[in-house]
Amino acid sequence: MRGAMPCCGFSDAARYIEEEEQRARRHLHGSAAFGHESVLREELAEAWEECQGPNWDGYDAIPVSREALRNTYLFLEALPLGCRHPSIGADPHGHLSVEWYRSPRRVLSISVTADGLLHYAALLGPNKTCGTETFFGEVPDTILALVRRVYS
Amino acid sequence: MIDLRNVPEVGSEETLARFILSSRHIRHSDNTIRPDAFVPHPYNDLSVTRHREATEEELWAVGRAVASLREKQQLQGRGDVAAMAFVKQGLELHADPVRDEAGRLDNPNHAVVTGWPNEKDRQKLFALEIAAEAKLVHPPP
Repeated sequence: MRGAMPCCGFSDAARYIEEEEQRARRHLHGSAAFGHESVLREELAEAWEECQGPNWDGYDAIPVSREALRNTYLFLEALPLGCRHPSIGADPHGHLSVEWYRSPRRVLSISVTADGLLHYAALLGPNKTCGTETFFGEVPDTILALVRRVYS
Repeated sequence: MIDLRNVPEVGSEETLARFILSSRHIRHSDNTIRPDAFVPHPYNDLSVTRHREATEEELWAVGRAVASLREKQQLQGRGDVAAMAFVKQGLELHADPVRDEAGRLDNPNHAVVTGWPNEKDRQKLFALEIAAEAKLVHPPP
């Protein structure tokens, strides 16, 4: 299986800057002013707890794998500062789902797979869209634009 | 409930129920249903129960029977959806009465929703559309 790869620079300087950025981002996410990481981490742990066994939905759903959990964690950690707080669910394919929800017809749902794919679908008022992106450690622009549209 | 000897095909004017056994499928903030509840995997069809000729008590009896067949599962509620919500997505509805020899679950009102796309993103989109039209009903105490 293919895991999601963190985005890397090619020089020591690039690596240093990336590490500093990640450290700063973690610090800010952890702070009361900016962050929701701890809340998300708790929600993610709860979802994993509930959905790691077979048939967790009563209709023979596939258990959520550790790889799907790991990729979802990395995906959440890669969200930019100030991004709205999503909620965490799971789908019967054995993926964790990340949802930005404003109303039943203003919603974005993303399934994060064990092999690092992001299957997404969105209802945006009268418009709708769906697709698949690969997660390489950064949240794709397509996804970020859809998050903004959910709340616009 | 529908007479097992004379089960009509599912009409687009009917209301269908999807029993929800995982609390993860409910948005508790506003009592709506997440699309994950309407994704058919691992099967090619989605199991639903028709309201037709059924009382509330009979519908909940089916829901409790469904939950009792699953280990550690509790009935969280049901999503009531107009059959038209499925039809609008190009999905097909088929009567699929269940007769259990052991008598644990006779459900003449059982139906299946077929014709789902293979692509996971399209399945999600269909499920989002259906969930947007579904109404969550909590089980009686």
